[in-house]
Amino acid sequence: MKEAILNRKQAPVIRRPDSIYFPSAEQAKLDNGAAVYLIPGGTQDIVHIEIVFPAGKWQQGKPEVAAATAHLLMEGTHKRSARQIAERLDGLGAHLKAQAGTDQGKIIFSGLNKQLEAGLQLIREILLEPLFPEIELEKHIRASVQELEVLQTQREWLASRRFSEMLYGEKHPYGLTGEKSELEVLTKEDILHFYEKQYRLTYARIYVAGKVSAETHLLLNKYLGDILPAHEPLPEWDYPVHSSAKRIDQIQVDDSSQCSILIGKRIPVMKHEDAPGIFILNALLGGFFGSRLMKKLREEAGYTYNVYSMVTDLEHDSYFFISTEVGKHVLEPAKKEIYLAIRRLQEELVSEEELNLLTNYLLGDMMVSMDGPFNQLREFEDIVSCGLAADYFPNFAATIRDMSAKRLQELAIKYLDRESLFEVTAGQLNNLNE
Amino acid sequence: MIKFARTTLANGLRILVHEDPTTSLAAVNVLYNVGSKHENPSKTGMVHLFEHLMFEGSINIPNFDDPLQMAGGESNAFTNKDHTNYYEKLPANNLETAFWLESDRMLDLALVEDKMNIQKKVVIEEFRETCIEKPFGNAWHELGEMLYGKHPYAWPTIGSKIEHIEEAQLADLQFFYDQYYHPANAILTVTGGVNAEEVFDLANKWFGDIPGGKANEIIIPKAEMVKAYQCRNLPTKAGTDAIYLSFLMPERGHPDFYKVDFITDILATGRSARLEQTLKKEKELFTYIDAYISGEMEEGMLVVEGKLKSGVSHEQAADAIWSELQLVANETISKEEQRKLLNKVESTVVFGRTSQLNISYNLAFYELLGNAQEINEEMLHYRAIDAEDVLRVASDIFQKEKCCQLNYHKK
Repeated sequence: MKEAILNRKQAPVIRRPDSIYFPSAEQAKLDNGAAVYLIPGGTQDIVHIEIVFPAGKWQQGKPEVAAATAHLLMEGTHKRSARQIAERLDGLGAHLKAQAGTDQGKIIFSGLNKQLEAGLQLIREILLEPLFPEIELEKHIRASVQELEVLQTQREWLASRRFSEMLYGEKHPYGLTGEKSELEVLTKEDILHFYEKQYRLTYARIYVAGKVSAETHLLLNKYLGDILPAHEPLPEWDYPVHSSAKRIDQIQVDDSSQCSILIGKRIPVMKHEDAPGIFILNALLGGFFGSRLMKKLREEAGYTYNVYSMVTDLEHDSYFFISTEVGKHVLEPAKKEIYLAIRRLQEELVSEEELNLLTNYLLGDMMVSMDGPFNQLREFEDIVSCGLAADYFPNFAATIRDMSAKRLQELAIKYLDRESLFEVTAGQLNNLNE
Repeated sequence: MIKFARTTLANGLRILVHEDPTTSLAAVNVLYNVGSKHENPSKTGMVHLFEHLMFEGSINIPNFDDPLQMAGGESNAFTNKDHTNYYEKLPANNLETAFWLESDRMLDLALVEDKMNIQKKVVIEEFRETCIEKPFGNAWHELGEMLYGKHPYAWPTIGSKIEHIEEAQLADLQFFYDQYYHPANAILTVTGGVNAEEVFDLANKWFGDIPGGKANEIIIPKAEMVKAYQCRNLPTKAGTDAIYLSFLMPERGHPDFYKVDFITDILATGRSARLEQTLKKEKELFTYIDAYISGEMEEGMLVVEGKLKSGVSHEQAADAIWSELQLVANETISKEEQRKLLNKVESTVVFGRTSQLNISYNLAFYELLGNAQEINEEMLHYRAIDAEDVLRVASDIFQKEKCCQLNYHKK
């Protein structure tokens, strides 16, 4: 049989990406009350665990304590030196790290399933018997001070620090970026106190993904179920936000061939009814390769290698920002195009074709972000942190499917008012004194 | 074990498929056997600039990304010294959209002047961002020049200088396209929630009628051994001093290739690795230190890279690194350390198999090297290494007169 000649101008039929797998986690509790989320799946015999404590900047009271505590957890127990911990882990071929962010302190383990029990033994030891050696604290302070000095020479970092200060105020946990003076006054007592209060498994959420079984839960309970209970409820913290009155700021960084641009604002938290819509609006503006900003600034004008906008959801607040590095000779035209793109969202309805492309892309992207147990763990952790449950995922998919041009325009008018946006530019600027 | 099916079309296109029924997504990877090593030294950066133009529309399809995004997918690409690699991730039931798009830009591209001019600007901003503004971003230009001299590995993929990108002509790009972008010079791999027979049928439908062309058989000359120690001193605005020690190493396919990789594992893989423990934590000479290989097809480089603790001189830093290098070359590694590193390598290999994109790229890369089955044999190479090999290979590489050093001084 002779085949028909291929018509290459004719695109193959596209099916709307609708086979999204919505993950659900099997929930359980350890004896001490720690909440466990088990997310089975995957083709390889591996397991990934994240133990999340309320031990971030939000809870630290004194600056820099959360990061130092997480760092020092890995630096020695009553049984093992830092080096012995490292040797033990590498001997297993497993990865283990502790880190602190804005709202959380985390222990992250990944390894082959055959290493799980030995890994949990070590995690138990690290959590239960940390030594917090003075000498390691001193090393941490020295290293962090130097790291800070290095960051302070970097344009993008300077811009992003100024931006978060403008949004939240420099005393707010989400505006804090670290100071040499704060690092230098850290003491072992600060660390011990913070550890005692916050590293309580009763407060913790434990996410486990990969080849997990009923036995995984038993092992978790065996090694983590009988330690570090809390006897009082977790206190609540509240911080006033002091946004900057000045909405536009510039930072002079000599000797740069490019400028950093950051434009954005605080937006409703993930739980708010408008949040899913704002996420979609953000995608249209700058959330993927086919977004308005990417097409305009990169593909039409060649002003930049990359421009994007994104929504960041923290536990207690959310914000949105546009970020790009542009040649310094095109700073002004690039800014103009960014504001024009925002105005277009407010003044024009998005075409049906563009809306289709956007929502199909987002549904496909959702399939990708839900693919496999390790991606699912990340998604799950994000929503649980923000006080949401598994029904968030199908609801979000429905919001994408039902999105209309009119609704996007309403959201753009409501949330992207130019007067409400903060703007930071950093680079070799000529017009600082104008 | 990664199972795969393989076939070759009459026009020379090689196709490999790995089925993973646990996912409803597919990863598509198209690798072209052309990299920056195939460029003319006075017109560098062409292959990478061309990669950008592959997204600017083809003969029958004015826009590459729009239809793919409409199908719920996303695409990207990268170029290195050896090859150029394009990939898509999309819902498996829209797989044909990726075939339609990839086959059309293999068939004929719509190269036009104004799109080239815009992408030149984009690439120049990329050059500024990654090689000028990024701390130590020019290290690869400097090390490449010192280590490789006239060998085509001397310049980084983005190009030796901005002027080369500015001066690129449409004719040069068209030449690259005609020479290298055809089925006989490409490898297509598909992984994920797909069926191999269906993939072969689709491949035949969309790629089967594209003329074959001649596979790239350019033989890259061997890199000449570095004969004398070289050192360059450069200023940096990065706020910290830094040091790079680099050495030429054997090509892929050389029996010692994996041994060199294992030597960098001894030095720098994991928290308990020697450089981290001794030079960073105990002696506090560095705030960051790492050792790795570039892993290319021709003679690549082994690099030891460190950021210096304030107050430490480059001389002290270099001496401390050399004492660790000599330790690897002179003292037999213990069974225990060797076993520890093998566990680590195994874990990395297994974790690498959780990404469909990673599998599809690796299948294509091993196929390019000559045998896709090698994807399942990596561990065997590491297990076969014995302690005597490590001593021999390390002694051969770690010689002062073979070293090219780069010192960055903060302002």
